[in-house]
Amino acid sequence: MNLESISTISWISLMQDQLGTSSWRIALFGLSLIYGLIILPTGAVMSYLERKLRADFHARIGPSRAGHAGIFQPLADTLKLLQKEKYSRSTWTEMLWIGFYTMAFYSIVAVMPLGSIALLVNTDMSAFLPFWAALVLAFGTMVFGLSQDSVPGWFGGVRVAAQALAGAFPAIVAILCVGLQAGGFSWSSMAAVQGASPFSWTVANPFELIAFFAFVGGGMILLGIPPLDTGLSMPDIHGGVISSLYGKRYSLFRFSRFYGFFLWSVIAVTMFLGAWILPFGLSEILRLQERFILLGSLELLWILLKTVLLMLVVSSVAQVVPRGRVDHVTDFSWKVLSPFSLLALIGYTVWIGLRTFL
Amino acid sequence: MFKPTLECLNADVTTWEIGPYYSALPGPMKLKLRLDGEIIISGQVETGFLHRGLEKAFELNSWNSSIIYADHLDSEGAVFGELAVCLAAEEIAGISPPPRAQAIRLILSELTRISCHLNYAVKIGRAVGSETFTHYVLRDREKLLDLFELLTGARFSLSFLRFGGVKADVTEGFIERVIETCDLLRVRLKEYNDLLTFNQVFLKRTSGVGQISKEQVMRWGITGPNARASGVSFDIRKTHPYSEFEKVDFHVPVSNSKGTHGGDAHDRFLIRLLEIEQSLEMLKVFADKIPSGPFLETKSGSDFKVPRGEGWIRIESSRGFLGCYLMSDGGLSPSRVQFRTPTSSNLLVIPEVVVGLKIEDLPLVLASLDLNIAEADR
Amino acid sequence: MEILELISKINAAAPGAYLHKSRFGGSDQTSVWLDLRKIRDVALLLCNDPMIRLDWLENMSVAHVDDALVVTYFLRSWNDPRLNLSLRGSIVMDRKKEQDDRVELPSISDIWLTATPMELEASELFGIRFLGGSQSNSGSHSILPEGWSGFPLRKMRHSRGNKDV
Repeated sequence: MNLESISTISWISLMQDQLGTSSWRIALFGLSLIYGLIILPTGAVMSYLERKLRADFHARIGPSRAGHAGIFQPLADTLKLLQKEKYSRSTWTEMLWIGFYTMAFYSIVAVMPLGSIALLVNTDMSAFLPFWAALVLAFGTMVFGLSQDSVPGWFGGVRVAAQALAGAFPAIVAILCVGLQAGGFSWSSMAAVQGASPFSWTVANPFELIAFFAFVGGGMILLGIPPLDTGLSMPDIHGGVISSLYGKRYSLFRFSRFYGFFLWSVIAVTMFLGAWILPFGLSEILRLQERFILLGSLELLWILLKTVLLMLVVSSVAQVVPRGRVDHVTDFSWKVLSPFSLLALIGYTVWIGLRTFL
Repeated sequence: MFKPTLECLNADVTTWEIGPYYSALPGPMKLKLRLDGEIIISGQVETGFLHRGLEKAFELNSWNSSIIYADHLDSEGAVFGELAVCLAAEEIAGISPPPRAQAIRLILSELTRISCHLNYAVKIGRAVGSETFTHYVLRDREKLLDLFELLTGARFSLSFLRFGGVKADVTEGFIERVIETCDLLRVRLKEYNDLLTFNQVFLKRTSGVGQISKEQVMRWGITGPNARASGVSFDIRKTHPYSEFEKVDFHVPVSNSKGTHGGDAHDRFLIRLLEIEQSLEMLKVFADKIPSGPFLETKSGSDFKVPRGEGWIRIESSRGFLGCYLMSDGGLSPSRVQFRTPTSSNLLVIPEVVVGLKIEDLPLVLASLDLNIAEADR
Repeated sequence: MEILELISKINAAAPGAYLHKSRFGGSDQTSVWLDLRKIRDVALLLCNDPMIRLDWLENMSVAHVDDALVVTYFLRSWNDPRLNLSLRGSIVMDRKKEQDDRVELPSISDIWLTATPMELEASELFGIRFLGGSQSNSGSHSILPEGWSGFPLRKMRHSRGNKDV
């Protein structure tokens, strides 16, 4: 794959030429659009698909009342949650937690790789920035847990922090492995070394395949995605920080969990599963024809499709696997995922070395 | 002079009182825990929150009403309460139910045992967060509840046994449905094993967790599957057979787990699946051989009386040894009814079992003990 | 062990404790009637004697019969499931004070640990104070609501016509 043939054209510069206004206004408008038209609807669609999938596994029907085949169930749930009244005053620690979450949301939308056109932040640190968001989310949950006046809250908060630290290490090592192949940590460089065919994806390499599993597993532990979500799972005595959440705060928390899962999946697709590269050479064709809006839209749909499929596969695994204890999960991360991610990194390094010198 | 206590020197110790209403608890009870970080260093149990005066209610109502009150001893295994009261009254009165009634009672007992054990599996599945497994088991349990409805008209509080027999004969097609259900459940047991029983994550969660030794079983009088999971072979159906159990050839599963992991939560789970298998075998063999004849010795009216006397009956409920002491003064209602329930013994072992547990394992261990607070508090 | 041999051992361990024996109800189980003031000595013998080893108190039942509380201890052995025995005794109450007054009985909860919840129930519901017991006999309630007066499982006279309830 010729690196020069792939170029990312910032949509901001495109729109600046068209509208003649300042870039920060365009960036703000664009981020709001991404959040409102991509992330929120994807959340709704994923919520519905996941519930139907879960119902299928359970030999149930699933949502079926709100609209035809229950397609308006996510909307009904959101409206219900937003209408719930809170009965206690907000404390400063709660506001701190909400502040962390909000910071994580609105900043990381900018980093999300949603196609060669829709890349706002494409620096050599791009791949590491989502870690910041994930750790902020974990830190915010920890603060929230510790701010509660209950033993489950305290335990839950500390568990979330322990899980986050355990999951971060194998994930970071996996990113290093991908960066080795790509020659950098920007989204465009990671996409540039992949093609549309699965045989040209990063995971086609056996060491990168190991790194992929380490990345996905580490991310699930870091973000508390089922079935590795022990610190955040529903049963209260498991250290449920969410036991005292309801109404708007509960919907914010649930959305943040979806957001973390979505973000991680998008990054996994970008790094390992062919990114946004369209099949049949469409990316190159549309770029040559300068049909950037169509190119951006198709790339966005393509990467979203792959992301949703990855999320559904992970959800399927969650339906059949029981939940471990938090120390089992952190043990899994430190004693299984971490050594395998290091093996992937070292193995790939040796492989590159052999290719270079032989 | 102020002398600091051990507790205030130990800065890591937290006291946490949970209950009486809490999602992780099996019913209204209080657990006073002292925690050193995540480890439980001591626990105390307090019950009595669900005391309904059930034993007094027997004394205030007619003999026939006793059947209905007995249903409410254990909501999941209602027939065991009925059976205990009926057998005790029949012993005092010298009533011998006809063979057909005995057979129907046996079938109902074993179906109830299977239903209770499936409910136990649901509780364990929920405790480990395995939702798919719980839904599968609940779906299969519905078939048993349908059988109860077909025979008795009710799903849980059956109110079907009578002094001297049963309320009605088996309906047409009932035996065929029983055999069909047994065949289906046999296949499902294999599915449960594939899905959960030998799953690595489940094994990690349950092996070595909540161990009860043989000595603890004997010290606290624990019976039933919990005792058999710890290697103590004691089953009332073998030691004091009732309701034609002496005519049925069956094997009582006992755990032979040796070493450090005997009597843990996994053993208790596995024993119950094995008991379901045994009950299915018994039903398959026995259901076809119900003797013909009447289903009730004599119909008892509202003025039914049991002659003066007393009786002490033991039966094997799904949770263990259920005893019923019944005293009659020859009047229109019982003079005294007292139950010895298996949960009362299981509650006694909790302070020992929770020591050294991680707090996350507490719901699982409590679920594995199969506690029913309603029968403990009465 | 034969019942007569057992009775002679009881007489040796607790002189005057044994009153008489009978069949329990319509079953073939033997009941031994005792002076309950000496129940502890008898309990120690039955639990610890290697020839007897009735090491499991499967149930303790109390009933209000006429003017007395009849207490029955159902015993069995873990080693021999066929071995079982019931010990019985009665505590006579003063008819005029029977609704309010507690009666006393030695506790056996340190000999047979399974007696603990049974004695607690009997204490609250029948008003029996168990002396030397492991649980508190302060009169605080764990089964009945706080402030409840009286003992609900004792018969109340004349509350339904002439029938004792």
